[in-house]
Amino acid sequence: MSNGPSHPFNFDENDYARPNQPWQCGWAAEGHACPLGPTRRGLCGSSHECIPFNSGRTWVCSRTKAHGGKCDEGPLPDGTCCKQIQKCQPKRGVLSRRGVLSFTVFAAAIALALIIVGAPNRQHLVSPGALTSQHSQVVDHCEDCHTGAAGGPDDWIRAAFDPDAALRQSSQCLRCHTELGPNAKQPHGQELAMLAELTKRRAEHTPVASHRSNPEVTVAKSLLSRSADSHTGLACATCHSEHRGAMADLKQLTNQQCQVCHVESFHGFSDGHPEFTAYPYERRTRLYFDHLSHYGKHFATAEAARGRNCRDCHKSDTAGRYMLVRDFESTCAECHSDQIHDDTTLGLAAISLPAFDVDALLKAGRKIGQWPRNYPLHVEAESTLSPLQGLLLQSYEGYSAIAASLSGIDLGDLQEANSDQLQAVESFVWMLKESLYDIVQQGHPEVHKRLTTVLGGHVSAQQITALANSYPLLMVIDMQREWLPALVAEVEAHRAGTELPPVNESLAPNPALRIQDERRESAMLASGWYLHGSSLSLRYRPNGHADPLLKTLLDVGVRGIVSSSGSTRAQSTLYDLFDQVSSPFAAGRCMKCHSVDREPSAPAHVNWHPYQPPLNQHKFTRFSHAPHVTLLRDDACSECHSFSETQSPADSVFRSDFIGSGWRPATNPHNFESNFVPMSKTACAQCHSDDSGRDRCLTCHNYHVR
Amino acid sequence: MKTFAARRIRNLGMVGVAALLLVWFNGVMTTALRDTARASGWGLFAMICFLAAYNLRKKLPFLPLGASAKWLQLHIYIGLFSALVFGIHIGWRVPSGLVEAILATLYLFVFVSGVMGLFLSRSLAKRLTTRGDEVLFERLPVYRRRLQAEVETIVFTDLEESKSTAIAQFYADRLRPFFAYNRNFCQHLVQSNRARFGLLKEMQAYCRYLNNVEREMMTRLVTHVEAKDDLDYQYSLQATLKYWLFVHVPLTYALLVFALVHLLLVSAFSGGIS
Repeated sequence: MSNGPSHPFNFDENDYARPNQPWQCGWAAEGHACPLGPTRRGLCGSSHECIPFNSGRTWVCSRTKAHGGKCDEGPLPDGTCCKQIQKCQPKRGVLSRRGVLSFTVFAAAIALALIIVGAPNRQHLVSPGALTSQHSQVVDHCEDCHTGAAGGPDDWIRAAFDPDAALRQSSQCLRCHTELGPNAKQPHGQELAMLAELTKRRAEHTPVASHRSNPEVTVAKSLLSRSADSHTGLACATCHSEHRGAMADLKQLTNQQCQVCHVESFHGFSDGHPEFTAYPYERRTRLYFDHLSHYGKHFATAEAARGRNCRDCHKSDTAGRYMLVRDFESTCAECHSDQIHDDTTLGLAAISLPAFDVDALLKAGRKIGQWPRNYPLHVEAESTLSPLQGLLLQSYEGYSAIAASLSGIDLGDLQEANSDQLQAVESFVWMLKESLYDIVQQGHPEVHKRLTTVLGGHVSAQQITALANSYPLLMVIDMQREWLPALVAEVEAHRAGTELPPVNESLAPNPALRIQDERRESAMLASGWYLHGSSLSLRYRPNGHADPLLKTLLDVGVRGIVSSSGSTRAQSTLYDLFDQVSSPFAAGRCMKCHSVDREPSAPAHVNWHPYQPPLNQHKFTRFSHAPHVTLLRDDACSECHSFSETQSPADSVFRSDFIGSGWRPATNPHNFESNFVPMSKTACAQCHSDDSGRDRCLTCHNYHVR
Repeated sequence: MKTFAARRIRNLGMVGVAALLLVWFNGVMTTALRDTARASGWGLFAMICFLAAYNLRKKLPFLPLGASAKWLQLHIYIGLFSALVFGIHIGWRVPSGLVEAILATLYLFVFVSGVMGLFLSRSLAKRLTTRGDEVLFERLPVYRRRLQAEVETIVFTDLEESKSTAIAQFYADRLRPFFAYNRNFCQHLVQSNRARFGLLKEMQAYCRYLNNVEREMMTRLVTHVEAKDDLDYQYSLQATLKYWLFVHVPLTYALLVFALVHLLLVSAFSGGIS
């Protein structure tokens, strides 16, 4: 300043500044702050300019030099200062004002916080952000997902110290996401033993190679491995972070994050990803269709091949993910319908009367009542039972013993049979008659009861009902009236233990005319049930593709495919039934195209349909045809699916992958050789390269496998 | 003895290295599917508590808690480092929840006010020595009042001696408001002399209407105007150095309150403190 230092530092030339005290004298700004200053409570504490002191003889002024020094008037006689000070209004200092403001803001913050956590709509106030659009439609309250959210702030404090809260919250997620299965909290939703087995198998098949991996992954694996967590379970929030807005992607994961848990790590799909092994041909097709023989042989002629391409038989599903097989009528029917409607075969024998050696039985004095002789009318009659009949007879007491006694005996020639065997044959004849009698007299309920007795526990109740109802009752009655007209009287007499009615041989018609009639009727009847007199049987020809009776018989019979050591008699009979109808030459020829799968984890079953992806199926690997087909030409399927060069169209029509020895279906779906060359990673990596942005693990792999 | 620049380079270097390590380790944790928000949240909370403790340290000078200068250095560099932790904690997104938005806003105000305070304390302190005397902030009103009294004495003396009201009129119109209060706060902050020169120029122009005695008085008034402007300069800079803490400190307490609320909520709603 121009007129000398404005700030004298001598102690007696200045007011005593107290910047650290909360209150300042109100006169300080006027330049004459009182020497005592305000009290700590902000009250003006001064009344006079000084407090005179007593020198012994008189009162002496004590006013400081800074305030003008000793006054001329001096203290009053009573010792009080003569200079009264007008009371001031003390003011807060800077620090004090800051303290007040701090306290005010602090209190306001606490008040605001209490309002937020105490408000009736606190759940909206404390929400950290909007849910995804999917969750916001089904979640109304915080406690729907957060177990600790129920109740008020005191409950929140308790929940804050709950160490298991994260996993408990995951259980809340799984209340809705039941599709993730019972092991949802385990890695990939799979049992740990199964994952360990997959890892072991992977290491065995392809030794873990050393690839260029991300250093972050390496450090994360070594320092922050989550392997220990996998035993206690992984919380959903490990990967899925909610409250990040309606359009947030909950499934966003990086390649590195996927690789932290995996034994083998690599840089990217095109750089280190293991080569495919047999993808996508990891099992045979469910329908036996030999692409090579069809394209190389059946469609080889220009006329047959005209206009044919993959889309003739395949179409994409609605999502464009799978290429499905079109239905029978629009694909196979053109060439294969006639094989199903084949009236040159006799069809399936449901009930037959075996060709016994009646003369030998009568000669031995066995009383079997009336039984048709195979000559001259029934020359094609066989001396064995149909499997369907065998099923019914098993419900009769004593059948097992009879069957054991008849083992190895030709029922059509009993000349050499001993007395016990003849006795067994007689019993067998009466058991046959009684079973036929029961069906004729009591109808479908009797069949149902008998089948339930035999098959209960092996096949479903619906299948038993379907099988029982498929018996053509009227045809069975016709059969009885035609070939065993005295059956009712004979069985009733036999059961009552009375004399059998005499056999009336004169009922037999003119043999020559009868044979002609039967052959004519058989030829006219291209499908359905019919009586075939020559073989003394009630037979069935399929009504076309997907014939319900044949499907039922095969579905029931396939349950007979079990390990030979553990098969029961019923299963053995079921297998006989299956054997009768599963030959590629049997009526309907179902098994010529429809394969049978038998996996260790499930009973054997017939594949009636080509692959139909289950809804919401999540396997480890996923592929969608749509974006690939869109990029390629319509006929560009062969870009990925190229025919195998190790097979030729001239190979056997019935390949061992599908048809095994004895014309029986091969049941192992993984023991096969594909018509196509397995796909290679190189082809995919042309587009899914490191710099394309389309090489994320989740592009082709699912985490939640079910 | 290390220079200030060397210390700054060393400390900034350490913060830079720590930041790189943090970013890298956060990437590792993210890759390992660890809860990075929880880790960074706890780290940020610890930092805020430590930063807030600096104010407490200043209130407890008698405790052997280390030199305040060391605390200030730690306060500055941990405060800068906390911004990175904060960004990682919120995932570099704008928070959408009410509590989170309040908390983030408070943090940003505290952080920005802190950075501003650092800048002000580094720049204004130097400028305080360039103009006027070094005066205690609390005594500035005293000297302003004293200057005003001196000016009024001059004016009243002139009125008696010159029998002219020219200077008194000029004082009443132009100088009285100038001396009555602290003026030109913002212009001093940006180191602008425009107001000072404007007033002096006006006084100079007014001189042509004055007689010799009045001109001499006016010359003395010019000296006082310059002294008052220097006082205003001191006030402007010192007040700024003190009042930025009126934002920084109170909001720190509010930040602590909402940090605790946030901690309670996330612990209760997302799986416990452990």
